[in-house]
Amino acid sequence: MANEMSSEIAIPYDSADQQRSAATFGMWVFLATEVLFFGGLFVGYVVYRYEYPEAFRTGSAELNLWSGGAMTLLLLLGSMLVAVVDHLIAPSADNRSSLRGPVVRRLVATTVLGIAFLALEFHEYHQLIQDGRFPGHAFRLSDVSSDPLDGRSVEMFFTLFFCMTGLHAFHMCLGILLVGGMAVAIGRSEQPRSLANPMSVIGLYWHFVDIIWVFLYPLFYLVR
Amino acid sequence: MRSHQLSIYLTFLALTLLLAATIGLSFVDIRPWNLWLGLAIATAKMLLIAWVFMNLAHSIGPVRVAAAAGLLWLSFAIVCTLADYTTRGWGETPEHWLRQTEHVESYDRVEPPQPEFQIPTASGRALDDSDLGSL
Amino acid sequence: MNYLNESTTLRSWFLTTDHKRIAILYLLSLTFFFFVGGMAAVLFRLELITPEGDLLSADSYNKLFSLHGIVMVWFFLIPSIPTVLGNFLIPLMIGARDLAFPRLNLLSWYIFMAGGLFTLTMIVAGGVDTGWTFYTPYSSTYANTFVILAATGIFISGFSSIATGLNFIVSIHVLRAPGLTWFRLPIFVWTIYATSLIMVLATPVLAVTLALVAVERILGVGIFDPSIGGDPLLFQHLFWFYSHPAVYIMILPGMGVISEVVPCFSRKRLYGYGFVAMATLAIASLGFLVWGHHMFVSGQSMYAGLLFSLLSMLVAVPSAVKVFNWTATLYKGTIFLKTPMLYALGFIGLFTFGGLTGICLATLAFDVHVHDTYFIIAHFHYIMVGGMLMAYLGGLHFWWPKITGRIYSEWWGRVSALVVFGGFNMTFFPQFILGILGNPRRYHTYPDEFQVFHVMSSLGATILGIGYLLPCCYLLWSLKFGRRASNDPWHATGLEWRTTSPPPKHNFLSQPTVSGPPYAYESPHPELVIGEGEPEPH
Repeated sequence: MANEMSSEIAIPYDSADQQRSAATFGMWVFLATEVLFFGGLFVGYVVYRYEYPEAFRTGSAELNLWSGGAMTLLLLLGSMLVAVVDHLIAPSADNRSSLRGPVVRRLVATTVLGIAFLALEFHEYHQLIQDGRFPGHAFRLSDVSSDPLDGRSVEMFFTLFFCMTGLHAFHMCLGILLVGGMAVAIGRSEQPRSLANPMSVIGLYWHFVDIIWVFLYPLFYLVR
Repeated sequence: MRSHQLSIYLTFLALTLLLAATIGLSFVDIRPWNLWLGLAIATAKMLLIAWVFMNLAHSIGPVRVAAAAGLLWLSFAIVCTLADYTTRGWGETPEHWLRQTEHVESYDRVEPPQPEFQIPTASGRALDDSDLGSL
Repeated sequence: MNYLNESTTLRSWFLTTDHKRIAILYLLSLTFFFFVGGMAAVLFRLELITPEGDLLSADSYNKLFSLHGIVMVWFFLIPSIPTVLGNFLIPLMIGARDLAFPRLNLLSWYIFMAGGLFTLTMIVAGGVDTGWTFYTPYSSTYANTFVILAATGIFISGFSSIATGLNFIVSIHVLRAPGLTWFRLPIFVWTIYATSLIMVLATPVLAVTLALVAVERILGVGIFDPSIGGDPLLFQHLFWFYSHPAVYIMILPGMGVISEVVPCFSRKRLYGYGFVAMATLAIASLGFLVWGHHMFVSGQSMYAGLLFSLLSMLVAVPSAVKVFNWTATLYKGTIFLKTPMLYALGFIGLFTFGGLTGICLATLAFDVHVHDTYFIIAHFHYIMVGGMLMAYLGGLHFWWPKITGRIYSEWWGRVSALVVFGGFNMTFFPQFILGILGNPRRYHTYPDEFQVFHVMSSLGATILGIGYLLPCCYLLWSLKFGRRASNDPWHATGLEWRTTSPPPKHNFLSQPTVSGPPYAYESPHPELVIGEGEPEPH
């Protein structure tokens, strides 16, 4: 495998293996960065959930648990498909069979699942904004007598909800563009396997965005 | 090689079951364990995704260190911040530390100066007492 | 043929992926930002000559010190040694042809310039008056200045920092030359590695925090807004989670430079190599656990204050280990007082002074007395200017022959080192006294009895300014008229001296290998002459 790819080794590297491990390692370092990027918001979540447990319960009851569960399932399915693609295209994999078709089909399916996720999420945003749950001047809540600050701490719950899921949705958009772009690139490529490194790196990103949602779901939709 | 593909499918199955478990958990009230069990399930899902989908199982040491570092540093941020919030309610100064402090009665009667100007805000609205009330 | 003359079109510079050329691009842009930040300092030091507010209004004064802080911290100090010396030297020191991701390296410069452009726009539009710390609720609710523009500039340049740090970490892991094990790496590489860790793990928290301030200004509510139960102090927690470690982003690479310069000009091995390397990592990690010492009087819980105070004391230990190791390296060495060495010795003294006053400030009770006074200003300028900037200039002089292939005027070099050292102390030492006497920071007027110290400080700042202009002159002069440098003008060790000065495009003509520990200095021949350059050909 290494010899076959030798023409594409970038200047700093001695071998294709070295280049592949640099790409993977670099992406993991970037993901550590991303953990801390979301981390600032998670710190905020922890602090305010500690301060206002009732407000989080009230707020969470306003969200649609089933829609959130369906969104989680869509992401998990997409992640599985990406993992299979990464496995098929990896340099160590069995390379006798043609792989363009299976890979492209799965990537397109992942893109569609991602778009469906965003559709559900934006539908929920729309509902919440209609009901006056968007923080700011228009915010209102019907039954708030039991909550501290006359229910304004529930507004804090929704501020965190929109900031954190919004940042996640932004990452989803990037992920959809990357995976969709990858599907096009592999579909057009004479040698799909030469795109193994970018595919692995994009796959790692996609899984990471998935993991973030795995935490956001119980923290926002399933508060007791 | 086929076996790896199989483990991907099995992992997906496990993830789906965990998702069902976490949803089911939200219908029973075992506070405060709802939170901790929910987080435990989320962590289990994360480990499965990282270990199988993200191939951490077959990764070199530095990659695993990078993966752990992000979480470790996030825990630094959370733990040290909570060190502040969780101890705020505690008595600010323990009584026996104050033994040598002399109480000066006149300090109690100092009137705060009345501001002669109003603090402008970004919205152009001046601050008034209703702002203080909502605190 | 070398990296400077292999192609000379503008296009070849702006689209280069050569880490050495990118280092030069950074050098030029950072020098520009340094003078922008410096001009702000000139203006407010002028204002402070008299107790009355006669030159600047309170508003302009606020905007100028904010501008000085923002530009100096994010557009000079944080990128300085990593992006200039680090970019140039890391591949050379590890024996690689380039950094792991050359195009990402170029992209990081463009991101940095985009962030800088936002900041310059902010300045031209009218500035920002929150201070470089952007404390809420002032920044989120009350300030009527260009907070969002300033925050966007910093947000963007943060990604440049992350990209640079990521590139260094991967390069140091993956691209080391055969035989170059971790404990054969020069300390400079260790310090850049530790710095990159901080850049990668802390910068994103700052980015998201500033984004939240912007959200709060746009929406009218946000997570720091007290009217919905938010805590403005949470901003300080998140801000200092980045900004305290950022102090180590500034100082650790400086320590790396000193660890290269001191053994070379003492002709001795670095004393306690393993301890210095481990102390570097210890500072980088412990530095993340001490941020609460910026918040002792903010309303943070007293118990958290106790914890942060204790941890702050601990981070002083590895810093002291380093100072002891440098001085032990000097002991019985054959010392050459060349320009880089003068800067390095200045660093050791001023850093020690800044560090010790830092311990004073980490003491809860003392901090209550001097919090937000000139004592703090003096303390962190001793670390950042006395420490970091001296190291940056020292490093620039040390590697100048390698970067440009020319030797600068040694006499002028020594003069500049002494002028900077003298001017610096005259500027900032009086500020310790002002702080103890209770002169608060960030006011454009002050009581009459403080005038003598402020005049001394402003006079010192003038000398310091001259000290900075001198190297600009003689270093530029050396480009045309300096003697040519040999491959290893200082007779130093390390792979960067085993290639030509300046190096060829891909650094080495053949792959270098390493077979022994670093700093293999032996007691020198009594007639050893270093740093003289090649004799002119006749």
